[in-house]
Amino acid sequence: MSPVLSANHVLASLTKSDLELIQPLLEKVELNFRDDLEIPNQRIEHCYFPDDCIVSVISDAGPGRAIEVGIVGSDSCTAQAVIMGSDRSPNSAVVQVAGRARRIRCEGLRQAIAQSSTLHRSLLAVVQSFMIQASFTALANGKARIDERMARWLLMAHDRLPGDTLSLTHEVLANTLGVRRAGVTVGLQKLEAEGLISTKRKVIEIRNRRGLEALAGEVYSVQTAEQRRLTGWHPTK
Amino acid sequence: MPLYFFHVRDGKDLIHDHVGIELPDFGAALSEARAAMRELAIEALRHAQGVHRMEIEINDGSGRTLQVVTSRDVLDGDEP
Repeated sequence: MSPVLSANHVLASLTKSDLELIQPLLEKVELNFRDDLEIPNQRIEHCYFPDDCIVSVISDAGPGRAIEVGIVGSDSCTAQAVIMGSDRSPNSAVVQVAGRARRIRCEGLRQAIAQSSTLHRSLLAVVQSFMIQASFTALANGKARIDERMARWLLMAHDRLPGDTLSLTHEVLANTLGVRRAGVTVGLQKLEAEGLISTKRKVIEIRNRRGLEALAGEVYSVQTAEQRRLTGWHPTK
Repeated sequence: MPLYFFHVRDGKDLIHDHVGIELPDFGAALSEARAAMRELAIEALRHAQGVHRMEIEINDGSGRTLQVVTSRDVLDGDEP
Protein backbone atom coordinates (compact mmCIF):
# COMPACT_ATOMS: atom_id res chain seq x y z
CA MET A 1 0.00 0.00 0.00
CA SER A 2 1.32 3.42 -0.88
CA PRO A 3 2.27 5.50 2.19
CA VAL A 4 1.09 8.69 0.47
CA LEU A 5 -2.48 7.44 0.75
CA SER A 6 -2.43 6.55 4.41
CA ALA A 7 -3.86 9.83 5.75
CA ASN A 8 -7.37 8.98 4.55
CA HIS A 9 -8.69 5.92 6.33
CA VAL A 10 -11.02 4.84 3.52
CA LEU A 11 -8.19 4.73 1.00
CA ALA A 12 -5.68 3.33 3.49
CA SER A 13 -7.92 0.41 4.38
CA LEU A 14 -8.81 -0.70 0.83
CA THR A 15 -7.51 -4.05 -0.36
CA LYS A 16 -4.46 -3.93 -2.62
CA SER A 17 -6.48 -4.76 -5.72
CA ASP A 18 -9.19 -2.17 -4.93
CA LEU A 19 -6.55 0.48 -4.35
CA GLU A 20 -4.90 -0.42 -7.66
CA LEU A 21 -8.28 -0.01 -9.32
CA ILE A 22 -8.81 3.58 -8.17
CA GLN A 23 -5.29 4.88 -7.47
CA PRO A 24 -4.61 5.85 -11.14
CA LEU A 25 -7.83 7.91 -11.08
CA LEU A 26 -7.00 9.83 -7.89
CA GLU A 27 -5.89 13.45 -8.10
CA LYS A 28 -4.32 15.45 -5.26
CA VAL A 29 -6.08 18.74 -4.49
CA GLU A 30 -5.82 21.59 -2.00
CA LEU A 31 -9.19 22.63 -0.63
CA ASN A 32 -9.88 26.13 0.66
CA PHE A 33 -12.27 27.32 3.37
CA ARG A 34 -15.81 27.55 1.94
CA ASP A 35 -15.07 25.69 -1.31
CA ASP A 36 -18.34 24.15 -2.53
CA LEU A 37 -17.76 20.47 -3.24
CA GLU A 38 -21.43 19.63 -3.76
CA ILE A 39 -24.22 22.03 -4.69
CA PRO A 40 -27.85 21.05 -3.85
CA ASN A 41 -29.58 19.10 -6.63
CA GLN A 42 -26.69 19.47 -9.06
CA ARG A 43 -24.78 16.57 -10.50
CA ILE A 44 -21.84 15.69 -8.22
CA GLU A 45 -18.58 15.82 -10.18
CA HIS A 46 -16.03 14.38 -7.75
CA CYS A 47 -15.75 12.16 -4.70
CA TYR A 48 -13.24 13.67 -2.20
CA PHE A 49 -11.13 11.71 0.29
CA PRO A 50 -9.81 14.28 2.80
CA ASP A 51 -6.32 13.94 4.26
CA ASP A 52 -6.37 16.80 6.76
CA CYS A 53 -9.40 18.94 5.92
CA ILE A 54 -13.00 18.87 7.11
CA VAL A 55 -16.05 19.03 4.87
CA SER A 56 -19.41 19.95 6.29
CA VAL A 57 -22.57 18.34 4.91
CA ILE A 58 -25.42 20.82 5.24
CA SER A 59 -29.20 20.59 4.87
CA ASP A 60 -30.63 23.91 3.76
CA ALA A 61 -34.21 25.17 3.93
CA GLY A 62 -33.46 28.79 2.95
CA PRO A 63 -31.74 31.80 4.56
CA GLY A 64 -31.10 31.29 8.27
CA ARG A 65 -32.56 27.77 8.08
CA ALA A 66 -29.51 25.68 7.26
CA ILE A 67 -27.80 23.23 9.61
CA GLU A 68 -24.85 20.87 9.47
CA VAL A 69 -25.87 17.21 9.55
CA GLY A 70 -22.40 15.72 9.64
CA ILE A 71 -18.73 16.11 8.80
CA VAL A 72 -16.42 14.25 6.45
CA GLY A 73 -12.70 14.18 7.18
CA SER A 74 -9.80 11.75 7.01
CA ASP A 75 -12.21 9.05 8.21
CA SER A 76 -14.57 9.20 5.26
CA CYS A 77 -15.39 10.56 1.80
CA THR A 78 -17.90 12.82 0.08
CA ALA A 79 -20.21 11.96 -2.85
CA GLN A 80 -22.05 9.38 -0.77
CA ALA A 81 -25.12 9.87 -2.99
CA VAL A 82 -23.01 8.50 -5.84
CA ILE A 83 -21.89 5.49 -3.79
CA MET A 84 -25.58 4.81 -3.17
CA GLY A 85 -26.29 4.84 -6.91
CA SER A 86 -27.63 8.38 -7.34
CA ASP A 87 -25.87 11.38 -8.89
CA ARG A 88 -27.00 14.32 -6.72
CA SER A 89 -28.36 15.33 -3.31
CA PRO A 90 -30.41 18.20 -1.85
CA ASN A 91 -27.62 18.58 0.73
CA SER A 92 -24.53 20.68 0.11
CA ALA A 93 -20.92 19.84 0.94
CA VAL A 94 -18.69 22.78 1.91
CA VAL A 95 -15.08 22.89 3.11
CA GLN A 96 -15.10 23.96 6.75
CA VAL A 97 -11.38 23.49 7.52
CA ALA A 98 -8.96 23.91 4.61
CA GLY A 99 -6.42 21.23 3.71
CA ARG A 100 -5.44 18.46 1.35
CA ALA A 101 -7.58 15.76 -0.22
CA ARG A 102 -7.59 13.28 -3.04
CA ARG A 103 -10.46 13.18 -5.46
CA ILE A 104 -11.79 10.90 -8.14
CA ARG A 105 -14.26 11.76 -10.90
CA CYS A 106 -17.63 10.20 -10.11
CA GLU A 107 -17.71 8.48 -13.49
CA GLY A 108 -14.49 6.66 -12.63
CA LEU A 109 -15.80 5.83 -9.17
CA ARG A 110 -19.00 4.32 -10.65
CA GLN A 111 -16.96 2.13 -13.00
CA ALA A 112 -14.66 0.99 -10.19
CA ILE A 113 -17.66 0.15 -7.97
CA ALA A 114 -19.19 -1.85 -10.84
CA GLN A 115 -15.96 -3.82 -11.18
CA SER A 116 -15.35 -4.62 -7.51
CA SER A 117 -17.94 -5.77 -4.98
CA THR A 118 -15.35 -5.49 -2.17
CA LEU A 119 -14.76 -1.82 -3.05
CA HIS A 120 -18.52 -1.22 -3.08
CA ARG A 121 -18.87 -2.93 0.32
CA SER A 122 -16.08 -0.81 1.83
CA LEU A 123 -17.72 2.38 0.56
CA LEU A 124 -21.20 1.31 1.74
CA ALA A 125 -19.78 0.87 5.25
CA VAL A 126 -18.50 4.46 5.04
CA VAL A 127 -21.98 5.66 4.02
CA GLN A 128 -23.61 3.69 6.85
CA SER A 129 -21.13 5.27 9.32
CA PHE A 130 -22.05 8.71 8.05
CA MET A 131 -25.78 7.94 8.39
CA ILE A 132 -25.22 7.00 12.04
CA GLN A 133 -23.19 10.16 12.59
CA ALA A 134 -26.01 12.23 10.99
CA SER A 135 -28.65 10.55 13.16
CA PHE A 136 -26.61 11.36 16.26
CA THR A 137 -26.32 14.96 15.05
CA ALA A 138 -30.14 15.00 15.01
CA LEU A 139 -30.20 13.50 18.50
CA ALA A 140 -27.63 16.00 19.80
CA ASN A 141 -29.45 18.96 18.24
CA GLY A 142 -32.74 17.82 19.73
CA LYS A 143 -31.70 16.62 23.16
CA ALA A 144 -28.19 17.74 24.16
CA ARG A 145 -27.10 21.00 25.80
CA ILE A 146 -24.98 23.44 23.80
CA ASP A 147 -21.83 22.58 25.77
CA GLU A 148 -22.39 18.85 25.13
CA ARG A 149 -22.92 19.51 21.42
CA MET A 150 -19.82 21.67 21.30
CA ALA A 151 -17.77 18.99 23.08
CA ARG A 152 -19.06 16.44 20.55
CA TRP A 153 -18.14 18.60 17.57
CA LEU A 154 -14.69 19.50 18.91
CA LEU A 155 -13.96 15.80 19.51
CA MET A 156 -15.11 14.96 15.98
CA ALA A 157 -12.83 17.68 14.57
CA HIS A 158 -9.93 16.61 16.85
CA ASP A 159 -10.34 13.03 15.56
CA ARG A 160 -10.02 14.15 11.94
CA LEU A 161 -7.27 16.79 12.12
CA PRO A 162 -3.60 16.57 13.07
CA GLY A 163 -2.45 18.02 16.41
CA ASP A 164 -4.31 19.39 19.41
CA THR A 165 -5.07 22.90 18.16
CA LEU A 166 -8.07 23.58 15.95
CA SER A 167 -8.18 26.74 13.83
CA LEU A 168 -11.87 27.55 14.01
CA THR A 169 -13.60 30.89 14.10
CA HIS A 170 -16.67 31.49 16.24
CA GLU A 171 -18.54 31.92 12.98
CA VAL A 172 -17.61 28.41 11.83
CA LEU A 173 -18.66 26.93 15.18
CA ALA A 174 -21.96 28.83 15.07
CA ASN A 175 -22.68 27.52 11.57
CA THR A 176 -21.74 23.95 12.37
CA LEU A 177 -23.69 23.82 15.62
CA GLY A 178 -26.66 25.74 14.24
CA VAL A 179 -26.56 28.35 17.00
CA ARG A 180 -26.03 32.08 17.15
CA ARG A 181 -22.64 33.47 18.02
CA ALA A 182 -23.68 34.24 21.62
CA GLY A 183 -24.34 30.52 22.09
CA VAL A 184 -20.79 29.82 20.92
CA THR A 185 -19.40 32.42 23.36
CA VAL A 186 -21.27 30.81 26.26
CA GLY A 187 -20.45 27.22 25.27
CA LEU A 188 -16.72 27.89 24.78
CA GLN A 189 -16.53 29.76 28.07
CA LYS A 190 -18.12 26.82 29.89
CA LEU A 191 -15.65 24.32 28.39
CA GLU A 192 -12.75 26.66 29.12
CA ALA A 193 -13.85 27.22 32.74
CA GLU A 194 -13.80 23.44 33.23
CA GLY A 195 -10.24 23.26 31.84
CA LEU A 196 -11.27 21.16 28.84
CA ILE A 197 -10.07 23.62 26.20
CA SER A 198 -8.28 26.93 25.95
CA THR A 199 -9.19 29.53 23.39
CA LYS A 200 -7.40 32.31 21.61
CA ARG A 201 -8.98 34.45 18.96
CA LYS A 202 -9.16 31.84 16.19
CA VAL A 203 -7.52 28.83 17.81
CA ILE A 204 -9.02 26.28 20.17
CA GLU A 205 -6.62 24.00 22.00
CA ILE A 206 -7.85 20.67 23.32
CA ARG A 207 -6.55 20.47 26.91
CA ASN A 208 -8.48 17.53 28.36
CA ARG A 209 -9.79 15.15 25.74
CA ARG A 210 -11.04 12.60 28.27
CA GLY A 211 -13.01 15.35 29.98
CA LEU A 212 -14.62 16.33 26.65
CA GLU A 213 -15.50 12.68 26.02
CA ALA A 214 -17.12 12.45 29.46
CA LEU A 215 -19.10 15.64 28.82
CA ALA A 216 -20.31 14.61 25.35
CA GLY A 217 -21.15 11.08 26.53
CA GLU A 218 -23.28 8.90 24.26
CA VAL A 219 -23.89 11.57 21.61
CA TYR A 220 -20.21 11.12 20.74
CA SER A 221 -19.30 7.62 21.91
CA VAL A 222 -22.04 5.58 20.22
CA GLN A 223 -21.41 6.83 16.67
CA THR A 224 -17.65 6.48 17.19
CA ALA A 225 -17.93 2.86 18.34
CA GLU A 226 -20.27 2.07 15.46
CA GLN A 227 -17.92 3.64 12.91
CA ARG A 228 -15.12 1.47 14.29
CA ARG A 229 -17.30 -1.65 14.00
CA LEU A 230 -18.30 -0.78 10.43
CA THR A 231 -15.06 0.56 8.96
CA GLY A 232 -12.26 -0.07 11.46
CA TRP A 233 -11.71 3.69 11.83
CA HIS A 234 -11.15 4.91 15.39
CA PRO A 235 -9.80 7.99 17.16
CA THR A 236 -6.08 7.76 17.86
CA LYS A 237 -5.65 10.60 20.36
CA MET B 1 -19.43 47.71 8.71
CA PRO B 2 -19.11 48.43 12.44
CA LEU B 3 -18.16 45.68 14.86
CA TYR B 4 -20.57 44.94 17.72
CA PHE B 5 -19.77 42.85 20.78
CA PHE B 6 -22.37 40.77 22.61
CA HIS B 7 -21.43 40.11 26.24
CA VAL B 8 -23.66 37.58 27.99
CA ARG B 9 -24.57 37.96 31.66
CA ASP B 10 -26.12 35.15 33.64
CA GLY B 11 -26.53 36.30 37.23
CA LYS B 12 -23.19 37.52 38.49
CA ASP B 13 -21.18 35.98 35.65
CA LEU B 14 -20.36 38.16 32.65
CA ILE B 15 -19.05 36.23 29.66
CA HIS B 16 -17.11 38.55 27.37
CA ASP B 17 -17.42 38.36 23.60
CA HIS B 18 -13.84 39.07 22.47
CA VAL B 19 -14.54 38.53 18.78
CA GLY B 20 -17.58 40.60 17.88
CA ILE B 21 -19.78 40.53 14.79
CA GLU B 22 -19.70 42.95 11.85
CA LEU B 23 -23.22 44.26 11.29
CA PRO B 24 -24.57 47.10 9.12
CA ASP B 25 -26.02 49.23 11.93
CA PHE B 26 -27.29 49.34 15.51
CA GLY B 27 -30.73 48.06 14.40
CA ALA B 28 -29.13 44.89 13.08
CA ALA B 29 -27.12 44.55 16.32
CA LEU B 30 -30.33 44.86 18.36
CA SER B 31 -32.03 42.19 16.23
CA GLU B 32 -29.03 39.91 16.72
CA ALA B 33 -29.06 40.45 20.49
CA ARG B 34 -32.80 39.72 20.72
CA ALA B 35 -32.48 36.59 18.59
CA ALA B 36 -29.48 35.44 20.65
CA MET B 37 -31.36 36.10 23.90
CA ARG B 38 -34.32 34.02 22.69
CA GLU B 39 -31.97 31.19 21.78
CA LEU B 40 -30.10 31.27 25.12
CA ALA B 41 -33.39 31.43 27.05
CA ILE B 42 -34.86 28.50 25.11
CA GLU B 43 -31.71 26.48 25.77
CA ALA B 44 -31.78 27.29 29.48
CA LEU B 45 -35.51 26.62 29.94
CA ARG B 46 -35.30 23.35 28.04
CA HIS B 47 -32.71 22.16 30.54
CA ALA B 48 -34.67 23.37 33.58
CA GLN B 49 -32.48 26.43 34.25
CA GLY B 50 -33.81 29.87 35.11
CA VAL B 51 -33.60 32.80 32.72
CA HIS B 52 -34.67 35.80 34.80
CA ARG B 53 -31.07 36.99 35.39
CA MET B 54 -29.96 36.62 31.77
CA GLU B 55 -28.88 39.68 29.81
CA ILE B 56 -26.98 40.47 26.65
CA GLU B 57 -24.96 43.70 26.60
CA ILE B 58 -24.37 45.20 23.17
CA ASN B 59 -21.01 47.01 23.17
CA ASP B 60 -19.27 49.03 20.51
CA GLY B 61 -15.57 48.67 19.74
CA SER B 62 -14.57 51.18 22.42
CA GLY B 63 -16.19 49.19 25.22
CA ARG B 64 -19.22 51.47 25.52
CA THR B 65 -22.48 49.68 26.33
CA LEU B 66 -25.06 50.63 23.71
CA GLN B 67 -27.98 48.62 25.04
CA VAL B 68 -28.83 45.79 27.39
CA VAL B 69 -31.36 43.18 26.23
CA THR B 70 -32.85 41.10 29.04
CA SER B 71 -34.77 37.83 28.87
CA ARG B 72 -37.86 39.82 29.86
CA ASP B 73 -37.44 41.96 26.73
CA VAL B 74 -38.09 39.02 24.41
CA LEU B 75 -41.09 37.50 26.19
CA ASP B 76 -43.54 39.30 23.92
CA GLY B 77 -41.88 38.42 20.61
CA ASP B 78 -41.12 40.90 17.84
CA GLU B 79 -44.65 41.72 16.66
CA PRO B 80 -45.62 45.39 17.07
